[in-house]
Order: sequence, then C-alpha cells, then structure tokens
Amino acid sequence: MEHERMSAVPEELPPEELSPEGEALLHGEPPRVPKQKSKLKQREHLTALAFISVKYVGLIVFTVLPVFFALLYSLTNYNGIIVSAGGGSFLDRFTSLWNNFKNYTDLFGSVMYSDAFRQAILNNVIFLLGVPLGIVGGLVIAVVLSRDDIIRGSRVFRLLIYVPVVSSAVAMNIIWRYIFDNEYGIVNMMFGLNIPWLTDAAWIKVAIILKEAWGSLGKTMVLCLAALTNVGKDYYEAAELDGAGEITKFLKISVPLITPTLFYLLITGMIGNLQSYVDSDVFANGLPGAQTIVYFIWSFGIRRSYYGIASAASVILTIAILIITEIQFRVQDKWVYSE
Amino acid sequence: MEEHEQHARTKRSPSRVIGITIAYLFLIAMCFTCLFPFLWMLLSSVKTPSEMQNSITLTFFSKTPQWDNYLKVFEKQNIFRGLLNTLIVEVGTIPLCVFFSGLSAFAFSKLDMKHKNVHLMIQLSALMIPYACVVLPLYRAYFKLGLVNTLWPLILPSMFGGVSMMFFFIQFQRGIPSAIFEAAKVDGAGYFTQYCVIMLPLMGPAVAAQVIFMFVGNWNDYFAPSLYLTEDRMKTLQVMLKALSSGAKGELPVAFAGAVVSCIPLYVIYLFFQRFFIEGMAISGIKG
Amino acid sequence: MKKALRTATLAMAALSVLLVAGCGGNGNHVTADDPTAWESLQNNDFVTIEFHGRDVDTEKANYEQFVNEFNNTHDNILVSLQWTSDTAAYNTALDGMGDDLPDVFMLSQGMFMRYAASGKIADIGGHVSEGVLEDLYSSAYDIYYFDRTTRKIGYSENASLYGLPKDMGPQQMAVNTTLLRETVNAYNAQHADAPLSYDDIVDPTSPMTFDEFLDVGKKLKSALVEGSNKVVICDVNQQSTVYSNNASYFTVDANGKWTSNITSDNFVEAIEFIQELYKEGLTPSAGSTTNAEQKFTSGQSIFFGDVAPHMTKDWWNTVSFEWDLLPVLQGRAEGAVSTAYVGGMCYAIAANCPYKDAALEFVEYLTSDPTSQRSQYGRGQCIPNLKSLADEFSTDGLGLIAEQSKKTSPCPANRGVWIDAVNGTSATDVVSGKYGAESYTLEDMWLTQFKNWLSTGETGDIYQKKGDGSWVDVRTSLTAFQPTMQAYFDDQYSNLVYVCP
Repeated sequence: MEHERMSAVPEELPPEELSPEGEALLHGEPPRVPKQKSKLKQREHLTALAFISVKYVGLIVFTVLPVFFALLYSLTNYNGIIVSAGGGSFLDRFTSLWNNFKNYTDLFGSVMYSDAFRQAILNNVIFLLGVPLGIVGGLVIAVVLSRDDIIRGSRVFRLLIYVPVVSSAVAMNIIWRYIFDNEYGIVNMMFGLNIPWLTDAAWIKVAIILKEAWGSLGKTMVLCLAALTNVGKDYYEAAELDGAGEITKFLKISVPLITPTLFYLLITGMIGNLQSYVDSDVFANGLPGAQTIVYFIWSFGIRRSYYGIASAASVILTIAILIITEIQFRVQDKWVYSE
Repeated sequence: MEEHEQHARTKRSPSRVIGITIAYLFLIAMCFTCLFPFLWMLLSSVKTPSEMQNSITLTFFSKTPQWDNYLKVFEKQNIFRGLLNTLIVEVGTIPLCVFFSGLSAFAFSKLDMKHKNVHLMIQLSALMIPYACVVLPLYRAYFKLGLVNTLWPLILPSMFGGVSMMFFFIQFQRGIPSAIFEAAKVDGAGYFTQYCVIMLPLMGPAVAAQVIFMFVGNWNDYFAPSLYLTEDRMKTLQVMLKALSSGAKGELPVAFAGAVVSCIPLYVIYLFFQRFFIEGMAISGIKG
Repeated sequence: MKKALRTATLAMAALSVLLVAGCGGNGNHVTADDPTAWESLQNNDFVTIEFHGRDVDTEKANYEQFVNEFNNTHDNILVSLQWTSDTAAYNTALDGMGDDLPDVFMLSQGMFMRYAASGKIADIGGHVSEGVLEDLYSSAYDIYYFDRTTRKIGYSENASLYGLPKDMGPQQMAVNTTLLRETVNAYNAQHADAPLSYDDIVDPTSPMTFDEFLDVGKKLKSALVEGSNKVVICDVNQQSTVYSNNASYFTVDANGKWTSNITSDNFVEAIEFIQELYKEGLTPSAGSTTNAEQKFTSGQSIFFGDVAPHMTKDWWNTVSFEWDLLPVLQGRAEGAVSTAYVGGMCYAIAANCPYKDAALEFVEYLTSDPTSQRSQYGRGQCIPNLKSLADEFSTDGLGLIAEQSKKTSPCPANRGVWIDAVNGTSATDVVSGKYGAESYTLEDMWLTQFKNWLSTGETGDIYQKKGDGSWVDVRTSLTAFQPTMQAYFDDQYSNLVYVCP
C-alpha cells in the first residue's frame, strides 16, 4: 500500500545479529552431532523458507512483475489509442510496439513532454524544501519540549502538535485550499494581502512548501523527542559547568548527537516528498505550476493512457529514489555521528 | 512548581522567566498552527455559500449556522457506503497482513535460514520501489482481471504481509528470549505452532502499534483508491471526499462538513490510543 | 550488508533486463475473430445488454426510468445500467477497459474518433432502422461518421456510422437581464447624450461583434458599482471565439494528417480579443478562483460566455434574476459568423458485442424515441435531437418546461438560438454552430496543453499583466507554441496510421 512504501528505508541491522552462527553462539547452543544437526537444521531451513514464501509471493506479484512490465512499457509506444487495435494483448504485440529508448529521449527532448516533465522535476525539487523546513520546526519544538524540567504539560502539547499527522490528507488539502484562496482565503484577508496563492506558479509552490512542513512537524517532533531523551544528561551538565548557554548546548550537543535521526527524517522525508500526488491533485487542482512527477505519471499514464511515456517517467523516478537511498548509505558512514 | 524550581540548577532570574514565557508562547502558537486548519474547517462547515465566498468581509462564526450542510453530505454522497468500503478494506487487509508479516518476521528472527541476509535484503529492496512505478502495470492487470471498481486492488497487495511491518516485527521479536521457543521445541511443538501459540500472543504491543498505523494509513489512502474506484457505490471515504469538494456549484461548506465527518473517527481513535500512535512512531523511527 | 542490498537490487535489475530481452523476440500476433460480424437476434433468444452511462446523479434516475421502460416493452432483451457520476473517472475507466467494453455506452466527442478508428466500436451504418436518421438533425450524427480510407471524421461517400447522438450541447451566451437593465439605466443616467440601448444588446437575431461588445462592455463596466465584485462577462469559450472569427485550430489533409493553424491571422485575432477582455478588466482577473458558472448564477456577472442546455436545468429554480440567451459574439474577420461551440455525446456499441441488433434497438430507443426526447428536454437536460420536436421545444408547446420549472420566466425565451446553432440553416443565417475541435482528433491532449500554455509561463501567459506592466503579445505566444502543437498532431497521426492503416 502507498503509506507503507512512503514510509521508510530502514537503517541496516548490525550484521552479527543476523548471522545464524552468531545467533547460535549467543543462545549457547551446544555443538550437535553433525548428522542429526544437519537433518534438524535442514528442516528448520525449509520451514523458514516456507514462512517467508508468502512474503515472496507478494513481492513477486506486486513488485517484481510490475517493475518488469513497467520497464517493458517504457520501451514501447504502448498507449490507450492502440491498446486494443488489431486485437491481441500487450505481449502479443510487443515487437510491433517496440520503440527503443524513444520515450526516455522524448521525456527530455520532445516538445510534447519535455516542458511538462522538466516542470514536474523542477516542482518536485522545489517542494523538497518543505522537508528541511519541517525538520527544523519539529526539532525546535522537540528541543523545547525535551526540557521537561521547566516545561509543564508537554504531553498535551505533543498530543496536539501530532494531530496533522493523523488527519486525512484529502480533508486537509481541501481546507488548505480554502485557507490560501486568492479571493476569500483567510491568509489574504487577515493580512490584507493580494497574493495569487492558488493560480500563480511561484506562489503555489510557497504554499505547498509551507503546507508540507506543517504536515511533518508532528512526526519530526516525536522522533527528535525520542532521540533527545536518549542523549545522556551528563553531556548537558558538563557543558553547563563550562558556562554554555541554551543555544550553544542545542547546536553543540543536541544536534550532533541526534544527527542519525535528523538524517533519517531527511531521507524518508525526501523519498515521501518525491512521491507526492495529493498536493497537485487536491490542493493545486492540477495547476501546471504544481504538478509533480507522480502527477505527471497519473495524467499521462492513467488519465490519458499513454502507458509508454508514463512508465518511462516512473522508471526515472525509481532511479532517483534508488540514488537517494544509495547516498543515504554512503553519507551515513562518513559523517553521521553514531554512538 | 516551586519545589521543582528549587531543584533547578539555575536560580530564578528575569531572563529565565522571559525564556520560559517565550517557550510557552512558542508552543501555544505551534499548537494553534497545527489545529487551525481543523478548527477553520469546523467553523466553515456551517457557513452559507455567501459567507464562505465573500471577498469583502471574513466570517469567523456563521450568523445563521447551516447545520443541514451535514445532512447534505449524506444526501450527496452515500457516506455510509464509503465508510463501509473503507472498513472492508481495513478488515480485509489488517489481520492477514499482521499474521503473515509476523510469520516472516519469525523466520528471520528466530529460525535458521541459509542466506538469511540476502533474503532479508531482497524483501527490504521492495521498499525502494515507489508505488508510482508499479501502478501502471497493476492498473492494466486489474482491468484485465475485472477487478477495477472492486476493493480487491486495495486489499490484495497487503494480504501477503507488508515489508516495513515485517521489519518492525523482526526488531520486536529479537527482544523476546529464544529460550521459550527452545523449551517449546523440546515439548515437540512445530515452528508454526510456536509462532501461533507463543510468539503471536507475546507481540501484543507491537501488533497494536502496527495495526493502528495501518488503520490510519488505509483510512487516509487516496492515490490507489482514486485510481481503481470510479463508481460511486465502490468509493472509499477519501475518494468521496474529493468528489464532494470538486463539485462546481459552490458547495464547499458541504465538502468541509464531509471532511469533518471523515476526520472525526480518526481523532477519536487517536485520543484513545495516543500511546500507540506516538510510541509506535518513535520506536519504528528510531530502530527502523 | 549494504553489499547484499546492492547485489540484490542489481540482481533484480539484471533479471528484469534479461526478461525484457527474452520477451523481445516473442511477438506472436493473435488474430481475434472478425469483430465486425453482425449477428441478428433470433426470435426466441433472450439477451442481456450491459449499458454504461455517466452524468450527475439526477440523470441516473432518469436513465433508470428509460431502461425500465425499455425492458418492460421488450420481452427478450434485458438492459442493465451502470452509472458513473464523475466524467474524468468514467472516461479513464472506459479507456482502461481496452477492448473489453460494455455492450452499449456513452462516448464523449473527444474520444469518439479513437474508438472508431481503432475498431473498438461497431459500424452500425447499414443497420439503423429506416426513418431514424431522417428525423435527426444531420448535424447531430454527422460527426459520428468515420471514413477509414481518408481517416476523417464526418459524412462522406465511404464513411461508416459508428454512433448515434445522445444529445447536442450548443453553447451560447447567457445574459442576466435584470443586472443588464440596472446597469444600462445607471449608465444612461449619466450619459444622456449617448445612451445604451437595452434592446440592441438583447437581440437574438443579430449577434454582437467583438468590437461592439468591447464598446458596450467598457460602458457597462463604468456603470457597475465599484468594489461590488461584479463583472461584465465571465467564461468566454475559446473555441467558439475562434470559430466565430472564421478561424480553425488545424486543417486536415486527404490522408487525415493534421496541420496546426494557430498562427493564422484570424486565429491570432480571436485570441487577441480574449486577451483584450482581460486587459480591459471586463472579465474576472486570471487570479480569480470563483467558478465562472457560480459567478453568473450568484448575479455577479452580466454575461456568461458559454451556456449549454444541460447547465440551465439547475438554474431554473435557483437563480434569483431573469436571464436570457444570446448568440455568441461574432468576429472581425471576413466571412465571420457567430458560431457556437457544440458539445455532444453519442451512444456507441462495442465491436465485440454479441447481440448488436438488440443493442442497436436500445440505442435507437434512447436517441429517437419522442417520449424519451420530450422527457429529456422537458427537464432541461438538452435540446431535442429530433427536428419534429424543434418547434414544440422553442415554444414549449406541450408545457413540459413550464411544468418542471417553478419560476415565472425560468427557461430563456430565446432558447431557439440553441436550435439555430444545430439546425444547419438558421432562420437568420447569422447564427451557426460547430462541434468541438477535439471531435476531429484522436484525443485532446493538444487542446489541454494549449490552454495550459496560454495561462502559464513567461512567453505563454496572455491573461496576466507581467511584472513590468506589459502584456505578452498573442502572436508571439502562439508562434512559440506552434511547433509543440504540430508535434502533438504528428504524434497523433502516427497513432492514427497504426490503428487505421
């Protein structure tokens, strides 16, 4: 399901926990007679395989095969106009539909798609600004709340600030659209502004970035708060003895110690953000200045049945997400603090 | 309060009082920001169209509250049907997803398996594939199988277990001592029995957190339902909500009423199970 | 660990590539049974027909009634109805079905050509009962002909008929006569020397020209109450403006190939006129988020640029002012005639429907049965398809419209201008109509993208004043889009040749 895919690329597990030998050692299993062991072990191996086989069926049917077909589609001129012409299924007519890498070159080179696609990429990249903004906001809230020695009622604050996370995205987008409305939105009317939030390609991006940041405050707050409570009090005590102020403590101690969490939030936020669709569909009502890559895939692939070109776009999106994941792995080793 | 301050390292000083005041003001402002859209939705849902779309005066509290906007929601859309459809998806996915995710997790956390790391990594790699990548072939397949405008496209993929849920369960199951299972093994219990009789009951808190996560996720899911459900009687709540809001005839207040209706059940669940929401998120975020 | 992940991903990728390569050589063409075969219904057969339709929910109830009535009078045919209220969802679902289409379904004009060209829908030409076509306006079914040799829409020697009209939606201009009277009076009170004439403005027999309208519009604007949010006109139909200036989006050659025509003088002039309305502030600004129809029905606009019959059925009992219809504005170019945009839908029969006779019987009932036609126009859903009903519609001879509407003057007195747009030879010869340009292409992406182009971007956006106070030159904008437009047409042509060799 979508929410699941949107969520996380988990951090890795420590390898020793996974290796069977290590586990056996940990549990103090005595070495067994080889023959008996191998028979029992084999049964265990097979059972384990059987247990995960259900998961494999799901993986193959709902991920591997579709990805494979998406690749196939992306190399053909498969579209709704010719989807049934002459009869036969997609695979039957595969060779006659084959058009090499034309879809990929068209996405960047043809006047028909390149404008929309380039715009979608640009929009997506700009919307990414909402991620750090939300992280900074959530982090500040978390830092304030983490001072439970001076802040009372932190539980209530936490409860309320988390509300956007459990609110329906469609409902929230409908109301945000009304809040930002050019003519009778409360933002313009309260502050006496006359900003075309919903119709101007630049302003709607600002609105979406603010909205995105707002939507992620709760998650950031909860995760940062959890990370901050794990930071030992002695760090702060030592710093206070050195006469460090609140801001110094925040920048020199809190932030470095919870970089793994911040980094995790950044990566998952970016991956989720790259797949946003509701903003373009419900909030922006399809305004070209706010169309994302997924909206592009929807509007060409689903709405207009241009399966070839849309699949090519989806393959590119997937590659972008793989690259971000790869960066996550590389960067994590280099500079993210870990205990 | 006083007792607390006596323990405080720093003594009460003007700058400290200002600091605390600012902190409170900041938190209250943040709470207000987070709640404002919902409050505004609540207030706007009883406005008349002319109070709603008035570029001259801003109405906060409707002078003649249109409570029948809420009735109109039910007239315009068969909200109960939407609710039922959403619940069918919830009931159709969650139990099987939990069961099979837990089963796979059990194999990874407690059983010996050749190439365990490779298997796990293959499973996890599915997380890197965006839904947008697989949606077109799936969409074609569902059409070919006649499953469009049924709830199956929303139920089927989750029936085999979810990857992040499985990962969460692996973490949790690692924390359960293996000795219990060794003992059961000696008693002659098979692995499947061990999972069903011993492991599942022990997974209570983890299951609760994941069930709530999935429940909220399913409830708010929009992209996939909006693709597959075009007939009114099959729409889920979120898709109906969008249909309400895109009516051209100035019935935004009705759409807001619909939005309120669709949010309330979630907020109620949130209030009752907040522990699982926040802690579940914290645990999965830090470990996962 | 990371290595394992990367290896796994690479393995998946490699496997996929292998599979792609493996499937490449395996392209068996499977030929289906001849889909054009026409089997007649035997007397004692009992058949079920699946019928898919779309429109608002109130229409669903009416179609349920039609279907029931048909089922009651036909012992051996059972029609089952499936309804979708959302247009985009309906169209998307229909496209997604490929060739597993319902037996009978409503098909919008923008999709008709690709369904006909790709052979998804049945050629019913030789099977339509005698007399059915004779009483229909020829313009009502002309665009449901498709010629497989020239690959063109419209009647010709070799063309086949692929659909029968559901209804026609000519879009004329509505005028809020209450507000117009007030505004004219307000203006005349100050300009007694050169007053405006209400009767000249509201004259259905002589359409206003672009220039007359600009002149009248500026005067009316000056008399509108400052700060009242009222405007002179909202929602000008781009297509009817183009048509009314004797221009077209494209020309089609003998093989069906399209050539973009958007930089022709007449075309540029038409778009310039629309820009002028924005420049003069006669329409709501480009940043306005109020829906145009709502703007008009709430009494905030004197004119409403395109009103189709089906829209007005909701107005009958909700609008609190008097209103009437006028022909759309006539262009400046030579030979220009006020030309309304005509929308429409047809009933089509799937090529692989096993009981085409029964299906056609049902379609004929819907399209030409006077009872069903009267029921539809009486509810304000559409104008009648039948010539024989034109007069009783224009005069409401049977009182059907009056019965449905509770207000004194609910349906526009000039509703004949809708008929004028479709009857081919209008009484005055100054009013005409033309089907939407999307009817003549495989799909309307070119039109959507063209509209997007005109409303966004540095070079494209003609509706908004730029930061430095200047406006984008229309010809520059259109010239810049011309290659893109042509690319869409070329791409469509390659698809057209593929499906209709």
